[in-house]
Amino acid sequence: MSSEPQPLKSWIKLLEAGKKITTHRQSDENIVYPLRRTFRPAAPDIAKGSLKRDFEQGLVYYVGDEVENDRAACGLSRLPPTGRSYADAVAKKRVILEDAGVFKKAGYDKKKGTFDY
Amino acid sequence: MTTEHKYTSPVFLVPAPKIQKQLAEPIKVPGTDEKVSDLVIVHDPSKCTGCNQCMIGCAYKHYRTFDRRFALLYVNESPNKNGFYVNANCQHCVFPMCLASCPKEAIYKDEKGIVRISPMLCVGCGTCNQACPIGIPRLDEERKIYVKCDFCDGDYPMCFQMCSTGALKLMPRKEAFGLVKKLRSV
Amino acid sequence: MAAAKSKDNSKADGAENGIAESGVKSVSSAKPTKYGYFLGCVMPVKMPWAEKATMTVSKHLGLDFDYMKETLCCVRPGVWKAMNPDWWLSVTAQNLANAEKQGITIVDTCNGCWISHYESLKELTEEPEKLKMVNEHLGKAGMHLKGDVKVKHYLELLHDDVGMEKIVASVVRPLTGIKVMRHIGCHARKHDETLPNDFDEILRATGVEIIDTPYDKTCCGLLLYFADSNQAILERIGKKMMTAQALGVDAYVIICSGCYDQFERGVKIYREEKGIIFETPIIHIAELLALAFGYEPEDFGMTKCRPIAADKFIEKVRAIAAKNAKAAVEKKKGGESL
Repeated sequence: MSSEPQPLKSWIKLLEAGKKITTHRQSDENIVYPLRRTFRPAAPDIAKGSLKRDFEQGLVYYVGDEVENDRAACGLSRLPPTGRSYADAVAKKRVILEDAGVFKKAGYDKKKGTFDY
Repeated sequence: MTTEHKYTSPVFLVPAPKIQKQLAEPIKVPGTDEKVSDLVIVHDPSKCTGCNQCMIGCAYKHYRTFDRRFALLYVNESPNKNGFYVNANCQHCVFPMCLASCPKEAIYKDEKGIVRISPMLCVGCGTCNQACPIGIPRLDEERKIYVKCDFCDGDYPMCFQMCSTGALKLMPRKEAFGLVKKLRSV
Repeated sequence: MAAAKSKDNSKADGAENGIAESGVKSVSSAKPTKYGYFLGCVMPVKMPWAEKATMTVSKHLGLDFDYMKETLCCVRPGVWKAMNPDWWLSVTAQNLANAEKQGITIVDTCNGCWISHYESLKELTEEPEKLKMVNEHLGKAGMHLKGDVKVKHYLELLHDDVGMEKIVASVVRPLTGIKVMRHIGCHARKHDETLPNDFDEILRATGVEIIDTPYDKTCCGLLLYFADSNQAILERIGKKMMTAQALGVDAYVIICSGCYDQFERGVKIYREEKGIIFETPIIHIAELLALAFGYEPEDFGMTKCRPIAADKFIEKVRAIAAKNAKAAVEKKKGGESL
C-alpha cells in the first residue's frame, strides 16, 4: 500500500476537459459545451479595415498622392473639402465615437490604431 | 392638404405615417385557442434588388458576423426569372407545422405569438425544417441545434430596418393578407 | 470642327448670361436655397471626373451650388445600422449638425449618403429621445443639432428644383443614337418609383436610348461583398456587365458613387483574376448631362483615371455631334435655297 493518495479518475477527466477548454480550439469547445456560441467581436473581421480607416480619417478611403494628382488632372483642388482638409472635424468625430462607446465596444485601441479583439 | 416635410424634399410631400415597431398584444384566432403575433413581415419581390442587407443585418443581430450564411431569413435569385429575387422569412403561423412536427416538443409559441425553438430541448433532428412549407428552421453548425427567426424578441426587426429598397414590409397581419393577395394577383 | 463649334456654343451659353445668370436670379428670387454638395468617401477619391461634372452641370443650371465643408463619412448605413442603430445616429448627426451650422441643404449624389442622412434626420425629428441622446454626444464635441436641415438627392434637385424644361432647354448636343443601360441603385427605390422615374426622364432628356434588361434592378452588391464576396462579384456585377457586353451598349450610366465603387472593384477582379475584360464604360449621369450641355470631355477629365477607358464612347459622341451639325448646316442651306 502506497502512502501517496491516488488521483481520482473523475478528477483526471476534469483536468483533461479543462486543458481542452484552455486551448480554446473552437471545434473542441463545441464538443464540450454544445450550447455555447463562439465569441465574436462587435466589429466583424471583414469590416475592420474600413472601420479603422473611418475611425482614423473620418472617411473610408484615404486621399494619397495619386488621388491628389488625379484630382488635379480633372481640374479640381488637390485636397477635397472633406475630413482630409479639416483635421478638426475628424477630431470631433473621434470625440463622438469615444462618447458613444463605439471604441470601447468595438475593441478599438485609439493609441495603437488596432483592434484588441 | 400636403405640406412640405421638414427633412424631406418634394418627393415626399406627405410625411410617411408612423408605423408600429414593436409587437403588442397577440391576436386571438376565432374558433380556436390559438393566438398569433399582431405584426408580420411581408416581402414584395417586385421591389427587391437582392442586396442581401436584410440577411446581413439578421446575421449580425444574432451572430455578430456579416456572413450571410448565419441569417435566419433567406433571399435568393428566382430560378425561374433572371434579376428577380425571392425571399423566405418566418410568418409565425397560426398553426405552425414546425411546432406540430417536433418530436421533442422543443418548439413553442410564446406570449407574444412568436414561434420559438428552445435551444435546451432541441436535439437537432431537422424535422421542423422538413415540415415547414418554406423550410425556415436551419441547422446552427456550432450548437448543432435548429434555429429560426425570433422576430428580434418582439423588438423592431433588424431585417426590416436594414431593407434598402422597402421590399420588406412590417405590417399588421390583416393588412398583410390584403397585400399578399394583391401581390399574388399581379 | 464640330466639337470645337459645340464648345463655342456652350461658352456662348454661359457668357450670354442666358441660362446661367437668369437661372440664379429666378432661383434666388423664388426660393433662396443654398445647396451644399456632400462628397462622401468614394466621389473625391475614385471619381473626380464625376465630381467635376456635377459641379459644372449644377453651375451651368444656375444653382447656388457649392461644396459642403467638413464632410466626413455619411456613415455607411449598411454597416453601422447593422452594428448599432444608435451609433449610426450619433455619427451621422455630426454631418447634419455641420450642414445646419453652414445653413445649407445637403445634396447627395450617393444613394447611401442620401438614405443615411434622410433616414437619420427622420428618426431624430420623430423621436425626441434619440435627438436628446445624440445631442449629448455632440455636446462633448461642442456641437448641437436642432434638426432644422434639409436633405436632397441630386436627382430630386435636377428634376424638381431645376425642372425638366430647363434641362431640356439646356441640351445643345443631343446624344441621339447612344444606347445606354442604367443602374440607379437600391436606396433610391426605398420610398416609391419617383427617383427611378426621374432618373429615366433626365436620361431621355439628353437624347440617349435606354435599353431595359432584367438586371437593371439588381443590386451592385456593395454590402454583399462583405457577406459573400464571390457571389457579390459573379452574380451581381458579373451579370450586369456581361449583359451590357452582350447587348453592345455604349455606356452604363450610374448615379450612386457607392455603386461605382463596387462596379470598379468587380471590373478589376474580373480583369485580374479571370482575364475577362469588360469594355462598357461606366458613366456618371452628370457627365452625360455635361456632354449634352455642350462641354467637352477634357473640361471635366472624362478621359482620365478610369478603370475602363471611355474613349470609344467619346468618339461616338463626337461623331454624332458632327453628324448633327452637318445636318443642321444642310437644313439651313436648304432653307436658304428655298
